[in-house]
Amino acid sequence: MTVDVYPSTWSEAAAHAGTAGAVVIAGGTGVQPWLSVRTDPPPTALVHLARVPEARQWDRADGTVTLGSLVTVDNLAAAICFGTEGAGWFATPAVRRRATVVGNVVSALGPRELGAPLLALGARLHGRTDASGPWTRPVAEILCDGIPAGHLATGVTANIPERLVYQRMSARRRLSRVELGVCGAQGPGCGAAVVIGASMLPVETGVGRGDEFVAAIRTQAMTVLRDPGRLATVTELAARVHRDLHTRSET
Amino acid sequence: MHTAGELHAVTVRSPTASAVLFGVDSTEAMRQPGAVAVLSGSDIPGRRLGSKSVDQPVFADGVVRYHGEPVALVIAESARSAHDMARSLRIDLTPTSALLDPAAALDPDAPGVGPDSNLVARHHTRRGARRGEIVIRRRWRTGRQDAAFLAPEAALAQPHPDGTVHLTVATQDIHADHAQITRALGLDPEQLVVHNSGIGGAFGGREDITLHAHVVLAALHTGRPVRMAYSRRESLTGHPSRHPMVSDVELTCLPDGRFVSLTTRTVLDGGAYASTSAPVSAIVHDFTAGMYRFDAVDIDTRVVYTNHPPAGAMRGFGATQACFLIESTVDAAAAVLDVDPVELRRRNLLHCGEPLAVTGQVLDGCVDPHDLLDAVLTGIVCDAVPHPDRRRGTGVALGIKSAGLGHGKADPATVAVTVSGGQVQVHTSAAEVGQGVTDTVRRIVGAQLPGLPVTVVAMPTTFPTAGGSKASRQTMATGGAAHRAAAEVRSQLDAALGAGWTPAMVVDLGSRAIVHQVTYDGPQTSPQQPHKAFQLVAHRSTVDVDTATGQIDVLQVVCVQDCGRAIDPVAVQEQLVGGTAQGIGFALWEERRVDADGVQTTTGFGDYLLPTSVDVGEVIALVLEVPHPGLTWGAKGIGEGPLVSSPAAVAAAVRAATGQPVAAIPIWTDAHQRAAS
Repeated sequence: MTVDVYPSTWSEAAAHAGTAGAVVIAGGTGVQPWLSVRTDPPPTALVHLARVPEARQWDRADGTVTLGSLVTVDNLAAAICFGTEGAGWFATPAVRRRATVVGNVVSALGPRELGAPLLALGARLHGRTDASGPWTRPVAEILCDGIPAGHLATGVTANIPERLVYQRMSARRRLSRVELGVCGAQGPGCGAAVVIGASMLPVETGVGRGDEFVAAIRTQAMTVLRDPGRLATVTELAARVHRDLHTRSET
Repeated sequence: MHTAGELHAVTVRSPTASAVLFGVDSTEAMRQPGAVAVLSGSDIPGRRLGSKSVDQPVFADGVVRYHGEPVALVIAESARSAHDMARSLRIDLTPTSALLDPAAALDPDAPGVGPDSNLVARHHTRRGARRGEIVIRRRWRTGRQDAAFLAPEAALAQPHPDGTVHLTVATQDIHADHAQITRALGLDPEQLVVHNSGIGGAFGGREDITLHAHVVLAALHTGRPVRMAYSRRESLTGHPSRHPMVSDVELTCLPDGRFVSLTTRTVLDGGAYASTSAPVSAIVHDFTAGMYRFDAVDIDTRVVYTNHPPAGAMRGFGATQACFLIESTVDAAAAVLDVDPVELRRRNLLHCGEPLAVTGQVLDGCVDPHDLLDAVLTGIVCDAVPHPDRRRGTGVALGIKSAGLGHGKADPATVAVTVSGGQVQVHTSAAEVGQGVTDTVRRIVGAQLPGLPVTVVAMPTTFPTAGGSKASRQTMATGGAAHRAAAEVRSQLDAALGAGWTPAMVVDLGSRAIVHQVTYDGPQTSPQQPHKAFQLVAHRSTVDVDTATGQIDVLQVVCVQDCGRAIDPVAVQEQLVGGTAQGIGFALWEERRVDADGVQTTTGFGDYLLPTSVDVGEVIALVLEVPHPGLTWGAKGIGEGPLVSSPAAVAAAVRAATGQPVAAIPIWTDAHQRAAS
């Protein structure tokens, strides 16, 4: 039997999230379909964050933006993830109105589309546990290892870029999983990321020349990519990202 | 739909493509709270389904032939309990070697899947022996497209006190479903009444019955109403796909580009059961040479059994595969000859009055193919500024398909028109699946009875058949019957009220009813004239292809189709746009994927990639009206045409943009990406 719980503080929410079999719901766009088709035992509790006031808040300070875990993808504060291209490639308008930035990167149920932009923005995830209180970890670590069982994600902080470009390959330009991608951002604390299937890897790029930028992306891609054709595609995407970051408006 | 006291049933399916089935162990399933019953092949031994060939057991019986084949049905007090039962049911089977290569199906040592052999049907036409000096040989492949209709299968079966069972289900043909269910379950025809719930689209995917027999069987077994509803995942397993095709083609021509001969060896993968494989393969065969002139043809078309999921009817019904085959070959010939593909088509297209190369049937009652080609090339240009990272290509394809059932098959439709109290009622069992037959019938009847409000009443199987909403036939069949019934009613009104009657005078007739019922089946077909009418269609597609990723953007597709006469012009435009979009999906992404063990891996619209509105670019539909002299108002069925040539045109555009051969659709595969890289 699944119970729905509505904590009103982060500490209450962390306590509920720490119980065995509990599932935290942020936007719910991944959890709701999973609940409909799951074949494993149902969750013991669904932890809704709607009554935690801080969950909907966002704040800009010192060149960074911090988004609470209920800040949705279509919120203007989240626009830094999309550059001037905008969010059109991410799901549908209806999903963008409900899906949350934090839910997208911590959920094991979805493709975590925002992983690459957040890596390029040097993002850090904030969380807490009932036992040990708040913590902050690089998003790269969360994308690699997942959020530990029983931990609650409360928000994410990202560096605000001067410019962000995301070149990627997918079956359809929208509504399809990114198969290969390179995301780059300009600005303090920013860098790049490469996407190869389910793998999302941060890349230290500095303010280097184009060939150095491409070489850094390529080196990182080679740690998981064996197919020379796909490596060539990543290399070209990296060159495009650098070009668009430095010489023309991204499209 | 729900009803009081309903039970819920869930199908349990085979986890493997080929197996010996020893039975099911329902002990644990029946321990689930709310469990009512488990039904399997042993409860209904030897009973078979099939709209054309009756070869598919209601539940797998002794053997499993494909992944996802129904093995048992669990019935419970709630849907959740039924799903819990389904998870608890133990299937006792031993996997066996699966036949998954259609090309190997006819080898003497291939595993036997079909009842007598692995050949479902073969068609062979040979005429003439001349050959040209220039020889072009290619192999073409098409994939496993799904109908992907909006509403997954669902049904409600309700036992009535008079001993009948009433089945309400979205379907293309209530009478064909009725015949299959009663035959499979051993019922008297009077015991079952089928009602069309009338929503959800079909595209051929509802021509075979899926949950229909199961839910009726459950209602009969329990004596209670039973409801079933497939998830999208189950729907993608539960009904047949389009037939995958492999075709080896040889075209010979003269140095000036005039075609001389066409030789094809085509194999269609029919999957584990025959379904509509025989008639689909006949359409592939008949239209393999398209609308081109050949002195000699040697066309061999086979469809075989394999352990893949069954393939069956889908919009285009084989003409889509045939169009890709011949139009791609023409593009290949143009490349070899270094001639513009459009110019090569002009040199070889038939004119009206000439015989089609395979059937020999004279092309008439339609637009001249040269005029069709001119129409798709004229005027409209794609003026989007090219992106520096992409290459642009434009491709053209011409398609042809029959409308209506052919080859001498009975193709009747019955309509009753009643005028009473100043109102007109049209009774018909024609299945409205979103294609617009209701409005078409209303317009046809309204044209005879001006000023009177017309209501179309959807009838169950207690009313005579209208035939199926398939083969682009309802405008011709039910429309033809409606026109004749309405004309007779008008004659009777003229006789009673004088030729100049007004709606007010009809109202004054009071409750007196003027009724006329017509069963119409025409025009007739024969071996010399195998098809009633032709849908002629052309597409011109413009795409951009990313130079690094191979990603394809469809910028514009122009669709031109000869509709005879557009009874409902807005609906015709929508059909052309919708069919074109479905063809873009088939060309680029749509594929029910099956792994090397025959297990279907596609699970939903997250991995079965339909084109969205932003993926199809600008779709421009142009209607040509060349009335067919043998059809009511000259109107031809048009539903399948736009899906015949749109995939081939998109493939041609990608070919033009990339220089790659584009030998297979859907295009978006690892191979395509590697080629781009």
